[in-house]
Amino acid sequence: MSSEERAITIFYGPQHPASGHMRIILEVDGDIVVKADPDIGYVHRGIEKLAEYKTYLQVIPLVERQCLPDAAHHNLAYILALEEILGIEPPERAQYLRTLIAEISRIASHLYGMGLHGIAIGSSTAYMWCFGLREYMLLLAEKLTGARITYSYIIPGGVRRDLPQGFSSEVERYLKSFERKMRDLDKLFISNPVTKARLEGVGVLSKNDAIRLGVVGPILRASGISYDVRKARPYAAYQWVDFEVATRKEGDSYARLLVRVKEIQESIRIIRQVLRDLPSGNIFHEKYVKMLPPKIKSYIEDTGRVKFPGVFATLKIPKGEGIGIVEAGRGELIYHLISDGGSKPYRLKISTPSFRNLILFSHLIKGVKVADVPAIYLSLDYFPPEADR
Amino acid sequence: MNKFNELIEKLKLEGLTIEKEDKALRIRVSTAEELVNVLNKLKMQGFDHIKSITATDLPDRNVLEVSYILGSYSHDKMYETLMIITISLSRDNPVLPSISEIFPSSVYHERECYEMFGIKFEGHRDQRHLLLSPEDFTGIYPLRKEFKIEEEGIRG
Amino acid sequence: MLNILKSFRSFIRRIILKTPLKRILGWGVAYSIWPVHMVTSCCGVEFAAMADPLFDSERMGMLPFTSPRQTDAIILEGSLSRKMARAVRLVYEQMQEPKYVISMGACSMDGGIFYNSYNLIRAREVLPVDFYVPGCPPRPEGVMRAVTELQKRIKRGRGLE
Repeated sequence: MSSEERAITIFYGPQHPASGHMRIILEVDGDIVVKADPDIGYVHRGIEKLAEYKTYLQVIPLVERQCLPDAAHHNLAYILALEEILGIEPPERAQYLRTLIAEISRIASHLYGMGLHGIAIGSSTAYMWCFGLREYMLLLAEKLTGARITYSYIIPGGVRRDLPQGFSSEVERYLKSFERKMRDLDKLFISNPVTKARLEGVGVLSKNDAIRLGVVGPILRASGISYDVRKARPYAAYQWVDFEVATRKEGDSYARLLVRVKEIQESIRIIRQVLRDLPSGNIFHEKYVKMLPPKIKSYIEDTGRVKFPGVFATLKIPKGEGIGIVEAGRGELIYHLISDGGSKPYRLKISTPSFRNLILFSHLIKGVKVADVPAIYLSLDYFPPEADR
Repeated sequence: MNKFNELIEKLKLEGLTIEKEDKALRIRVSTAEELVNVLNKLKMQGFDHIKSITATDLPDRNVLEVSYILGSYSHDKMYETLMIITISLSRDNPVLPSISEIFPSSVYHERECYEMFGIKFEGHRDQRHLLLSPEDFTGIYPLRKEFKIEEEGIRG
Repeated sequence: MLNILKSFRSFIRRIILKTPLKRILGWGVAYSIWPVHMVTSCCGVEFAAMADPLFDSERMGMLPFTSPRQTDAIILEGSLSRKMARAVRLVYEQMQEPKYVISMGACSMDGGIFYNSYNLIRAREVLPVDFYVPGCPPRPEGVMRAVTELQKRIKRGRGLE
């Protein structure tokens, strides 16, 4: 009997310690995988349809709930698409604050992925340490915005709150402790010979295949192509700060892990530059401040928090089409917004990085041993609610 | 805006008409053969992957409008170029040729368009349901405008 | 023969469920509630954060375990879509008595922000729920409070039959 006739079907299903909320249908012949086919849709909530029944501001919490570890980037991409139709640019201080929350969110997202990768390989200490480091970033975000995960910080025209007092020195204290613990994590998990033996040479993606299949994010950069939306089409304050794009040539699972670690170090550099160069000014666009009654205007100037003007409740957008592209933690994120002049969106199309990396399942998980499947699958950093929307 | 001029001149030599918008370039086509033609010419100029396929339902004009967004990873100077191709189809029997032989990165986008709008792609190897199971299908495709869901009755 | 087995079994049950033995049984079950490894939707991020060093859940005896035949509890996080509800029902029927269900988040209570979606159903239509935890997503301290209340209820002896 040939290999395909001997194969039996196994469900690597939703009830599994290392599978997340999706199912991979594997056909296995002995110990070698013959075919892998992803079965998704377990978390499909219909966000694109629901967005047509809510007003423009009510859509902000709706799109944040797609990718909870990395919520600030979805918020930012939607507001960039909306501001392109409205034709306004927020003030400079607001652009710097948007960069700050985006980088905090990127560090939290990478640590989540690394923690789950560690526990699937067998090192549950790495899971505990990575999630413990992630709590540092969530405490900082809570001091700035008021919530641990779902910030809703970015609104059309600026941001919602200004920096609290003494924030810069607290961030510096947290970052020093964070860097010390990252050095310990490096000795324990990243430069460990067991991790290297498990991840080197496993799941190799060549440069030509990466271009042909159209993958995004750290997977693309670990195969030798240095494409990053923050350098190609800069948004927020990225044209005024200085950072490098992390690239490696090998394309295996270990290279993807190293790219993520380097991106965390570059994000810490960006946060320090933003807090050093923060310009003064107001955080909300003047066109909307002029529409407010004087009592609310003095409230904004005294406390530094923005109370939503009543005109936002039924904000009517001119007819048009807008595209917002950002570089989220997992890759390139595109929001395509079409409006017909009313107070609710006509069509919102979201193209998420996890959905565009789906094509790698049937390409990479072929001809490998069954024990290598979690090592490859979790190095792709696939998050099912983001792909299913 | 000037950085796209060189690319526009090269594409005009091939016989394509391009509209320049603020951040992207747009080409409008009207038939299926023209679509395949334009995509083959763009592939030779260096565009090598599909970023998104957007379909919109316009019941007042009785059309379905599909937009393909393309990008390029091969050349450094073309990293920032976005090319949008738009085509209109009739709502009663929408059929398009599948481009998964030219651009392999469009396989899952086409499957999702079939499931949500009912557009059939000829030549697609594997056209099955992706996100919803076939036994839950009620007869109307979910993202068309006649599929209604309940609404809060406070604001109109 | 079957009648003798049945009366023997009910005799043993009446002895074990008398108060002193029931308390000892309750103490044993309450301090080792093992949930199944099944994540239903986006609140799973806060469930994973409950196991990290800041909000340690292992000090209460909670250890997520793989096989459904040897676990006690199932924790539903977030919205249930139709495909996922079929899988959850299969897993629930494989677990052995006594078993408990905790439902996290606003989406499984009554829909939350996705109340009018075409693909979601409510948790109470699929499983009998013991505790609901409100929030979107609830803080890890909220879920730990639900676990503590469940432990008190088990130690009093209810829910063991």
